[in-house]
Amino acid sequence: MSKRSIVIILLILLFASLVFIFRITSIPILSNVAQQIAGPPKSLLYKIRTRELGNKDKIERENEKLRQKIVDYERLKRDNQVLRDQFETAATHEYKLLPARIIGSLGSFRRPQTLIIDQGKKSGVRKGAAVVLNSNLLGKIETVSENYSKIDLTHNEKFSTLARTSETNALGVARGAEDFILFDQVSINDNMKIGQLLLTRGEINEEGFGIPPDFIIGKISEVDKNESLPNQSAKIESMIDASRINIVFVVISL
Amino acid sequence: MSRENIFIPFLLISLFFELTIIPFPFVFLFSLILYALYPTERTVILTMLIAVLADILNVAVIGGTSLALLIGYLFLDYYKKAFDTRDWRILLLILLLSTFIYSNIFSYETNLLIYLFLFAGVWIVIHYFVRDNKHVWLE
Repeated sequence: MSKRSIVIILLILLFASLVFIFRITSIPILSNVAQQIAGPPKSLLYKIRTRELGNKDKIERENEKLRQKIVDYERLKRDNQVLRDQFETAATHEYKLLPARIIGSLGSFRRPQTLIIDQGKKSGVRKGAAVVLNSNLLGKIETVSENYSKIDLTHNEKFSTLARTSETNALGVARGAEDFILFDQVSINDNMKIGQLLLTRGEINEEGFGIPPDFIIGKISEVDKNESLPNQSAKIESMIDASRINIVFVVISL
Repeated sequence: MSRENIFIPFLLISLFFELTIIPFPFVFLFSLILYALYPTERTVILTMLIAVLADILNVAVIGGTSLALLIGYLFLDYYKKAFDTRDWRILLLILLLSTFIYSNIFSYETNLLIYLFLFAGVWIVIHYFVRDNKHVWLE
């Protein structure tokens, strides 16, 4: 066996144990220096790419505003109902948001499954935190390193969260299905219509962070209902084209 | 600058291009090409360092890319010994297949059209390096 082959086999053993030991990306000093140096040029390059893909047109922006109004109206209606019924107001949460620049993506060029942002542990980002843009939920933090983090987008197969429909309050689980979002485990007695919005139900972990309620996950584009089954499901289309955005917001405190 | 050293700036630029401009494993591909053409200990050490940096910048498990590369190097060595081939078009095919498998495992772009387009570029690069047979792959 040649000297080179022995070197390669030794290195395989070394890196296999490294993968086993680390599992997460963390060599603090090296990660810190490398990520800080690479951050600005990566951000600039990503901007060039999103510019190439074009900006949102006027109609898209107006649609966004209208969707926001629908959610606000639904929230007000629900709050009003609670007020009348129980003489107390549903708390209006103010979330502490951390702006972050996108510096990379994984998955398809046109439809990324994962985004990499330029904020990490140092800025208070934690695994499981929600990532939003306007009133839309983009995904949640999957991996955190010193200065960067990885976001699993809502249509990523690893993503799932509790959700409800905007008008009928049908409860279920929204999970990524690669090309779309699947809203399933919805009771057959609940009503779902094409065009309804799917909102987050809120999912806070024991450490006090997670996915806040009432953020838009997407819009129902197809309903799969079979009366002989106890549950129904729906296909959800996301409202945000993740390949065209540069900045997102991490919900770092609820 | 020797022809072997031309790959170093390519590898460093790949660190920035990977996942930003296009989610394509440039570091993995260029490292494999470099090893196929110049299989030395220096190449192994250099590409390992770049691979660790790539993992850090891609927020991936450290050592994942290095491990994939080392397996690729062993496969290339074994293939050359077993089949005694020196045809660089076979090398191109091995590169295409291994990069495609790597992309699927590590969630990079898997659109075959983009692959064919990029490998047309790789064809030109390899052709430039093998034009006068002064590289180890053909010796």
